[in-house]
Amino acid sequence: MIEGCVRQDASCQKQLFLLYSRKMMTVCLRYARNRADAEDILQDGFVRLFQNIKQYKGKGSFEGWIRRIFVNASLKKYQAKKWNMEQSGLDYHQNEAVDATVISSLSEKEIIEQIRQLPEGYRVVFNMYVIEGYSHKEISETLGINEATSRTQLLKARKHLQNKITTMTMPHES
Amino acid sequence: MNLDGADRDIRSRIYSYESDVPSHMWDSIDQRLRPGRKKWFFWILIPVGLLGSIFLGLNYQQEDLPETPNQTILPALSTSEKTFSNQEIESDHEVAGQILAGSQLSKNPISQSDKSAAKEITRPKTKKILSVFSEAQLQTLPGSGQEARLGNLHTGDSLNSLAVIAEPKWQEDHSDLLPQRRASNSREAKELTYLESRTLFALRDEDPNIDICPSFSSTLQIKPFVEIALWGGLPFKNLSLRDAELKPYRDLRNSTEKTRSSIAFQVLGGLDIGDEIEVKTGLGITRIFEVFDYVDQTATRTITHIVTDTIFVNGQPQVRTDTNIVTEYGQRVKLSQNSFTLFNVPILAAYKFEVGHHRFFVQGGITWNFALRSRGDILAADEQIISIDTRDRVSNPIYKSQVGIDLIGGLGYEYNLKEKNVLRIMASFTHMLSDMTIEGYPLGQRYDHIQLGLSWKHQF
Repeated sequence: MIEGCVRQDASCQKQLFLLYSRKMMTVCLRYARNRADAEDILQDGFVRLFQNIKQYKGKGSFEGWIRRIFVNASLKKYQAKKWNMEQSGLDYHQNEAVDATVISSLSEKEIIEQIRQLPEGYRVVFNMYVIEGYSHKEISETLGINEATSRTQLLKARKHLQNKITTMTMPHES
Repeated sequence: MNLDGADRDIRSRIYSYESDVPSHMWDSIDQRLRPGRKKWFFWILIPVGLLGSIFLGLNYQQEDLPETPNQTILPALSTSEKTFSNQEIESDHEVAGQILAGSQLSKNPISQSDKSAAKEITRPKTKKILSVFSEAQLQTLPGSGQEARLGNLHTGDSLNSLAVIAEPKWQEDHSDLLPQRRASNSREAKELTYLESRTLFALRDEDPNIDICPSFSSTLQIKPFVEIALWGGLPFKNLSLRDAELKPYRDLRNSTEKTRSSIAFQVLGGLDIGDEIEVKTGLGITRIFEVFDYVDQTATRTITHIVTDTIFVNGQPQVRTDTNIVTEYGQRVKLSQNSFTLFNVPILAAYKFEVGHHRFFVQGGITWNFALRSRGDILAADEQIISIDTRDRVSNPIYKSQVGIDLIGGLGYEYNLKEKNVLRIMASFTHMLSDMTIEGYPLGQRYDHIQLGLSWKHQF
């Protein structure tokens, strides 16, 4: 199938699309502000994937390689809108994490929705660090920010997520 | 990377989670991977099919010409002093007499068909298209007893008729090459000076029904040609309101987008039908240039500074973040070169006419337009600058890919170059019949053009 895609065979490309599009849609949804943006990123990602598939040399997981393309496509969209990042004031944060027991009460769709509702900068760093497994160094290099900022954004993202999930689950507990 | 329990839980649950994908997504991707394959194919097929049909039709017609195995066709003779130097053209009958003289070279008696053919070609209407043989030329023809050869005719070939097919062309006036007494006041002589080339058909006895003068029978003469044209133009932009409340937005667009110029290139193929009509089609590209010039006097920008530090409180690390926002006010200037590139499929017809010795033509027709690419910036209705670059606006296009039809009309002058090449200078007006913008967009956008063009036409 990969060889067929290298030859730009339409049927192989469609097979690959059907195989990975749903997973990659999740990636796009996590980074995008809304579903329309996610669909744009998905489309851009697949176009970029098929145009560059000959660069895949068979080293490492193919899904991992594809995922990186979609993360990069998402980041490109994010970077175009990075002026949206705004925060002000003096904040104190403890190195706190989201309560694991609360997470289990949410569906995957709800978790994704909560991640998507994070402010732009938080969302990107949270996704890159927690889901994709980038280090703060890699994040700082990719986004052009310093490592300390990346750590701060992650902490804020966790805090934000904690508050939102707690608020969301409270009515169920009562 | 240190993931705590919650992070790990989130990761494990959504890393491989599958979300719904819109059903049209593959079609959109396929369209981008193979741009225009579907939409262009059909439209390119139209002129190609049209040209193909024309050439097939032409070939079919050429098969009607006398091309039997027994026929010998001599190469065309060019108009020259030699051709006319010894001629004495006094009347139609003399022309016919000369033709019959050609026939008399045959060893066979003249058939009835030869006589009728001779009558046919002596009609006043066709007189100017005939040529006559000079005494010297007749001496070189086969059957004259000499060893001289002319073209593929050989001594001893059995001939019963000869005719000369000439193609009237408004060439240079060669009357100075004729004897002075003829050139001064002979209408016939002047007419002959406009003959460009002629083909000599030599027919044998067994082809009595062949029209010895096919080019000037009731069927029009059809000749293919190619034409390459380059246009420069002045476009006039027309932004139309689709919502009356958006008049200020239209005014803002008009004040920020200045139309500059346009260029176009066309490769056309077509047919000359007789001397006066031509039809042609082909492919072309038009590019319209604009400048987007926007000055926002009340622009603001925000710069965020984040300073982070880790401190220890009772041995526990705490991260302290200090975030400052600086807002700046000022003037924002945005200057972009905008362009719209259109792919054209023109279908045109022209009528040629003469004024004195000058040859003019009027032409008109339609052009199908397709948007190939747009570049630059415009203002959105909320006064935000947005890109109109085709590559940036796949999911939310402003411009249609299939723009629609233009009406074209124009006037031109043609100047004969060497052989069958013609140089043309043209002026035309083009009017777009439909908007370039999609239906849901608040403003309609179209252009009219005044264009000046130069083209080279080659006939086959």
